[in-house]
Amino acid sequence: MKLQLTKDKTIDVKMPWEKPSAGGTAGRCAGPSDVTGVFLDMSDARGCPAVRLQRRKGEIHVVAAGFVPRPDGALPNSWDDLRDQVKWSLPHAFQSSQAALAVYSPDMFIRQTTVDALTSAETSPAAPVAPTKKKLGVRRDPAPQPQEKETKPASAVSAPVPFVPVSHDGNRFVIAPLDENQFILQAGLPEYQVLWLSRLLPEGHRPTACSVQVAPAAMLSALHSQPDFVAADGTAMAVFVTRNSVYFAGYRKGALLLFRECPGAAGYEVMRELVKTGLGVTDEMVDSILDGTLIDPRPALEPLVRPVLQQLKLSMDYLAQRYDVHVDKVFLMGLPTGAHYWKSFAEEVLGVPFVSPDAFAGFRQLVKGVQLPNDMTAGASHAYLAALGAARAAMEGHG
Amino acid sequence: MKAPNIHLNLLRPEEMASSSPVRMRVMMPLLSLLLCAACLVWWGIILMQGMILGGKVRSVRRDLESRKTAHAAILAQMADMRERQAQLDQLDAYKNGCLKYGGLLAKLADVIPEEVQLTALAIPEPPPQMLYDPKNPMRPPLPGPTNTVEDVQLRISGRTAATASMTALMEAVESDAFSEWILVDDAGNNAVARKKRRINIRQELHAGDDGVRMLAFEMEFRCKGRRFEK
Repeated sequence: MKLQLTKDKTIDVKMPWEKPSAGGTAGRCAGPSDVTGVFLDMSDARGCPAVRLQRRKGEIHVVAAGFVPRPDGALPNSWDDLRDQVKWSLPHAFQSSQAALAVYSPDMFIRQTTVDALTSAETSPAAPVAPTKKKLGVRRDPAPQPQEKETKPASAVSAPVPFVPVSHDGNRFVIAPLDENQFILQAGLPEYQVLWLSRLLPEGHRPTACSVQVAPAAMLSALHSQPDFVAADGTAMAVFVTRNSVYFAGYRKGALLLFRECPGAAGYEVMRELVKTGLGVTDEMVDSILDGTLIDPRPALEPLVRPVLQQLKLSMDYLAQRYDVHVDKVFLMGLPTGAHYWKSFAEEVLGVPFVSPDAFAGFRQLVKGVQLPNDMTAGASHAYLAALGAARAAMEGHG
Repeated sequence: MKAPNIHLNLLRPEEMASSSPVRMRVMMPLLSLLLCAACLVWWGIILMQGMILGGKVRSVRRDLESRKTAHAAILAQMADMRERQAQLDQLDAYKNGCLKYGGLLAKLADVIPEEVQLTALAIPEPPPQMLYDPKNPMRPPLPGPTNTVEDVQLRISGRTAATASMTALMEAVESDAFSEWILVDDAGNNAVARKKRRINIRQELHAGDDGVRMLAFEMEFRCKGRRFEK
């Protein structure tokens, strides 16, 4: 039983009738049964995708889905911005007891690394992908870094415990062991952004935040519900296309083996920009061109997609050589439009089929009387991918 | 596929706020304050009641002090009253203990045979009672006898020439006509009862001037006791 003493102080009281959690922090802890997942994407004009999931009789039901108005404020860029703490409340349909926030931040980082690299004094250069790196064709918002971050060298971290948040050098990160023991997945945000997010949903009002995840990490959890992924026994490759980045994830029997951000690749915003400039069309036309077949946008897409597929091939070769994992299916997730053009490129370059399923597949057991938005297509459903994954991960706890 | 899900939660447990509108961190201080206030009020009430009781005690003590003299006077008067009442009771007891023998003497004159000459007729004084406390002789004497019942005897002395006359006198006195004064037992016929009744019978034989031998006798009859009772 959790007893909240102060706003920032909660103690966990073990009652005699409560069953002890198996294995402590390393064990699997059951999460709440009613969670609203929200993808806190400040750049989407439609708002923030939100999904409310409920566990009933062992099955996860989608109770509500839609875009909710964004909070009246942006993610803080420094400790000083914490003074302007924004309070956010969700519409009635999404007022579950708890919420899981998936956040996209220019300052976030998620990378595959090792514990040794993390604990050594020269940790930061050893990271495979720099968190704020200039991408091809797009310049990320220059996030103001804390002054001490530039002047002080990165210090060593004592061996972190998996799934336990660690504050270090102004950042907060959490690690998860991958299937191979020497590798870990590390994801984090600046400390002030985590604090801001933890207070975004005010206490005493439904919902309050029980989980804060970076958006790519939340997407990883969403894939586990896909029926095709389950049918493939969890051995597959996944390409997560976000607004500004592309991530690869390799699985063996559902366990994550490989995670990397595609170097030099931009997200689907750049893809839309390339189509718009290459074909000379307006913003309104881009989606219809990418979804339809009347105009072939492949010449415009090729400079973006081919390097991504070449990097994907490298990753697949890495999986095959190191783990003897041969994937025969690649899941293309998060891409709202133009998935069939990616599939055609993939068949040419890789010879492996791309699958872009509905993000709600595996979840679509709706409670009677509740409907998803009417204009929901398979591509449009991918806008909810991070929200779905965040809620699902929070419901299942950690493990 | 049994691989666990990866939940990279950056939120610490202590940062997770409760969505319940009843917040323990608000309610606990409030309840504590209410409890403290209730205790203060309770203690205040107890203190006030104590002060009121203390005032009452002081008032009662002052009242007792003021009434002490009057109380002592009342106690003395009550003691005097008890003393006088005891004296009255004793007087009543004496009054009730006063026996009248006029009827006895009148009837006795009717039953004395002609051959009997009475020489003495007496009701002896009872032995004096000890009204002084032997342990403390200086103490004033008791107002009355300590025994509430006193034996009374009727002594008849006389002389006669015939024994039958003496016997007739004795039987006449023991008849029902004298039962008002003389103690007559139902079992008066047996010897023991008679002995109780006739305490002393003495016969003296001597000759008179005419040469007739006379029998002197003395009879004592137990009368009903003198009861010093109200």
